[in-house]
Formats: sequence, C-alpha cells, structure tokens
Amino acid sequence: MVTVVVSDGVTFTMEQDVAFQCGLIADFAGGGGDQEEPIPIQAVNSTVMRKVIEYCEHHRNDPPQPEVPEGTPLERKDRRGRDAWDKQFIQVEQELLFEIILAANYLNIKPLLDLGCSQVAEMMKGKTPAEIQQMFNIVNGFTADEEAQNGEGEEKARNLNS
Amino acid sequence: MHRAQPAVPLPWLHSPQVGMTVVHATHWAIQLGPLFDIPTDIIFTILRRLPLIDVLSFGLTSRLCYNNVLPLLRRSIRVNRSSLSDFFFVASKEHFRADFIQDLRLFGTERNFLGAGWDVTSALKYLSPFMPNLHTLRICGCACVVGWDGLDGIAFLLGDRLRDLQVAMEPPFDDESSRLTTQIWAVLERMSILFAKADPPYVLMKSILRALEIRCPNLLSLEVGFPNHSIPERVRGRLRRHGVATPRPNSQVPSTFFSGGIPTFVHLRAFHLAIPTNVSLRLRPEESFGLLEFLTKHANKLRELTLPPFSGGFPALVNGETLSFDLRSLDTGLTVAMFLNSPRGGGSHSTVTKLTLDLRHGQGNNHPIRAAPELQLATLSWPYCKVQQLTLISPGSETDYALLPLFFPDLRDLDIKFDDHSMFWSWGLQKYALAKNSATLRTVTASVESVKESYIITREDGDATLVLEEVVTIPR
Repeated sequence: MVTVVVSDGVTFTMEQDVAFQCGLIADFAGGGGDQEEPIPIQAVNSTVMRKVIEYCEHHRNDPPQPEVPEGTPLERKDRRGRDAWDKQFIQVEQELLFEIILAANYLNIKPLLDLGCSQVAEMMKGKTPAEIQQMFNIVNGFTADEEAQNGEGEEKARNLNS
Repeated sequence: MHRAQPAVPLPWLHSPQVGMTVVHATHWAIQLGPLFDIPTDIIFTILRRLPLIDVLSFGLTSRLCYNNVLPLLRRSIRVNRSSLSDFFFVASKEHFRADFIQDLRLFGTERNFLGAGWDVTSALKYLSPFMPNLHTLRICGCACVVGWDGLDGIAFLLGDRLRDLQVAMEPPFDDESSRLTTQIWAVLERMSILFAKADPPYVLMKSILRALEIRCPNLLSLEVGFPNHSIPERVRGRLRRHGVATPRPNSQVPSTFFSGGIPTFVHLRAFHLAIPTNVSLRLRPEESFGLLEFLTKHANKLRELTLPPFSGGFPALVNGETLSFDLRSLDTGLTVAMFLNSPRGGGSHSTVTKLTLDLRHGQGNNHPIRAAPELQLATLSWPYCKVQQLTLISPGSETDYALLPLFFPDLRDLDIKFDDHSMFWSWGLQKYALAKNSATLRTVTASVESVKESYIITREDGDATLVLEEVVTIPR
C-alpha cells in the first residue's frame, strides 16, 4: 500500500498498482514495496486527488500504452478511442478540469493529462475568439484598432479554411 | 496623440514563415484568467488537438496568445536531411504542427551523401502521412540528389498533393525510364529538375522528360537545369572522390538534346532551360529543328520561355504579346526567325506584335539582319510574321534596311538605336529605300548617343514621303 498526504492535509492510501500510475509517486517510492511514510503531494488538494485516484483505479488493469508521437495519425486514433467512462469522468466543472490537468501534469499521469487537454480542446472547437474569451474569462488586451484588424484576419482565415 | 501600435501581421495570411529559427515559446507565462493559469506546454498540448481555424481563434483571444501561438501555425519549414529522423522531436519541442506544413525544404551538404535518395524517400515515407497539406517540396544541396527510384518514390508518396517540386537528380546511365512505375503527379503544376552529374548522356534526359510528360498531366511550368560549372575545384575533387564527376567548362551539350523534339506538356505555360554560360551549346540551323519543334508545339500556350546562352549567350523571353530577344548568334537568330515565320510558330504567335532585337556584340555575320540570304529564304517561304513594332539595338554597318519589309511584312513602327555616330548619319539614305519598299511603315525613329530623329511616313499614289517630325538633342 502507498499513502500520500495532499495540500489540505488529507491522507489517501491506495494499492501500489493504482498509485504507480502516477509517475511522480512511482519515482518517489523507487519501485519498492510498501511505503511506510506518507508521500507529500503539496500541489494537489483532496478534491482533485479523489478524482485522480478514481481515474487510476478505473485504469489499473490497462496494458501499458506505447509511446506515440503527438499529432500523428496513430495518436489521433488513440485519442478517438477513449472510452465512454473517460468521457463521463472528465465532464466536470471548468475549474476542476484545469486542476485535474495540472495535477496530471504534476503527478506525471500522461493518459489523464491527454484526457483533460482533449476535453479543453473539445470545449474550444468551433468557437469564435469572443466565445473562447468569455468561456475562459480571458482578458484580451487588444486595442480597438487591433481588434478590427484581427476581425479581418479571422474572416480571411475562415475563408481560407472554408 | 499616441497612436496604437498595429497588431502583428498575421503571417499565415500574408507570407509563409521560413527557416528553422523558431520562436522559443516554452516559457511564456500565461496569466489569461484564473481558469487558464496553466503552463505553456499544456496549452500547446491542447492546441495540438485543434484544427487550424480553432487554433487561430484561440490566437485571437488575447495579445498574449496572439504573440505566442504563431509558432504553431508555420506553414513552411526547412530541414536538414540529417535532422529528418528527429523531425517529430523538433516539432514537439518547437511546438509546431506538422499537419499545417505546406512547404518543406530538405537540404544537405554533408560530405557523405551517398544513398541520399534512399534517405530522402524513406524519410518522406515516414513524414508524408503527417503532412496532408504539403504542396511544395524542395530538395536541394549536393547531399540530396535523387535517382530514378527516388523520383518514383516521391511520386508514390506525395503524388496526390504536391503542386511544386524541386529536385536535384542524378541522370541515369542508360534509358531506364521504363523502370518508372505508373505513379502520377496528379496535381503537380511546377517542376524544377537540376541534373547533378557531369558529362551526362543528355539524350537520356530527354527520356526523363518524356517520362514526366506522361506522369505530370497538369504541369504548367518546367525548369530543367544543367550542372553548375562554377563548382570550385576543391569541391569538384571531393565530389569526384565520391564517384560524382562534375562537368568542366566548355564541355559541350550535344544538340541531339533538341533534335527530335522535346516532350509535349499539354498545359505548359513556362519552360526554362538553364545551361551555364561556359557550356558551349552550338546549334547549327539544321540541328535547331528540335528546339523549333518544341517552340512551335507550345506556341499556343507557352507564355514564358527562357533558353540557355547559346554560343556566347542570349536569354530569350516570350511574354504575352511582346517578344524580346538578345540575338548574338546566327544560329539562334535563324532559329528564332524561322520560328516567327513558320506557319505553326508564326501562325499561332499572331499575337506577337512587338519585337526587340538586341544586336549588340554581334560578330561578323552572326546576327540575323546580316544573315540576309538565309533569313530572306526563311521569310519568303513562310511569310507569317506579325511584328508591327520593331526595335533594333546596335545593328551592324552592313545591315540592309531595305530588306526589313521582307522580314516583317506588317511593320508599322521602326526604332533603331545606333551605338555609332557614323552609322547613324550613314543610315540616312537607306530610310528612303526602306519607306519605298514598305506598304505599312508609319514611323521611323533613329537615335544615337546625342541625337534622336523621328519621321512620319505619308503615302500618296503609292509614293512614300518621309516627313521629319522631330529632332531631339539628347543632353549628355
């Protein structure tokens, strides 16, 4: 068993095959047996850690995935193939979604990071800049002139792509 | 009043980005909003999952994104052949998307370039599935010379998408064109082949062109380059050690390259044949029919023609309605004259109404105006020349201007630019004979360094009268 303690002091204990899906924990434990001392995970809070553990438990029996270069057809096919459980799992509030992404990045869980990034990409698909700004609360920082020019550029780009 | 700085131009709309000098965007801090406070690498991971238009939309959400998302959108990339295997490593490190790449340039100058064709095609085999939008491929550098198999391999891999191909090619040692498969460059519009070997059997190059003729049904522009003779001796020696001989100055391109004709490309608009100036290409009149045949076959559609410097050199250009030739040899001049006057060439070139003959540096009888007997025969045999405006630059002292109406039966305006005062003054009497012989001539202008005379020709009862319209003293 492996025990971790997260930023808000909550302790989680999990089986090794679940915990070792996190590259960080596997590195920390050095691949050895049971860890007596709790491993501190300061960058993740308990809410997010629960989601991470839920993901890892679901995928504990998955075979190891081969490294596929990003952007390649194989990788895209792999992404398309994610199962319904994953899709349901990642349907969370936006704030939690980004926290899961950050946690996956910190804990080095590539499949979860990919899942989170794909979800954000799905949210952005087909949206206008204004809609994306609104969705993610982005402050644009453009002047009025630049806005006008960007509008023309966007129009041209859409024409090029149509 | 302070004027706002205009936004950075959109490079994906205005010009392709070139080179491997990539904006290193790994550490730009994103503080776009509370929900988007995530590392840059993760943002790029997200953007890699988006199509171009959505990446663009994201880029336009803020000035920060705008300035940092651009590296993803590059459409042009230059890669060293030795780096091809690391392409995806480079792509992921530099955060650009292979699927946006439209223009790929492979180059290589490594010493060990043997097997380059295999390397190039095997690399392309790996890369091509990731580059669905690739339409321009330029393979350059002595380390990237491909052979038959390489050319065929490129067609197999990219024949469905390449519109522009530049390749350095090793000429075959025998006629292996039959070895080419039936791969088609379905959408190729522009092709440039540089033959990279010395003393090649030029007649075999023609077989390559014939092979391409079938395989490139939509070719609009073809450039055929021959070895660069300016290769330094030390490089020449190095190439020789690798079994690649390079041509020496003054080696001759046999005229058989042209005899029998050059393949017909149905849609060709431009043909450029580049032979270095120190290659002696002698085209005797009887040997020039190949070129003539080529010209006449393509007369209907060819709008741009660049020919090599024949026998001391001239570039020739056909462009729209204007023909401009720098004629410095009898052979070429005769070829051009025959072309202009031939039923097919002249007939189909009826739109050519302006002609400039630059006769500077002509030697002996080496220009067509002096080569009157041959030209006269050609002209009288095929009187189809439609030139109405003729400019002669530096004609020789023995030019018989009275014969011009025979060469150019529709001539209306003649402009002669002398480079010698004595010729300018001695031409005076000849203009009367010229006007008398022509039924169409309207104006004659002659000039020399310091003076310019213009005449208007009037006709009454068949007699031509020259009226001096203007004398201009040209200030020194």
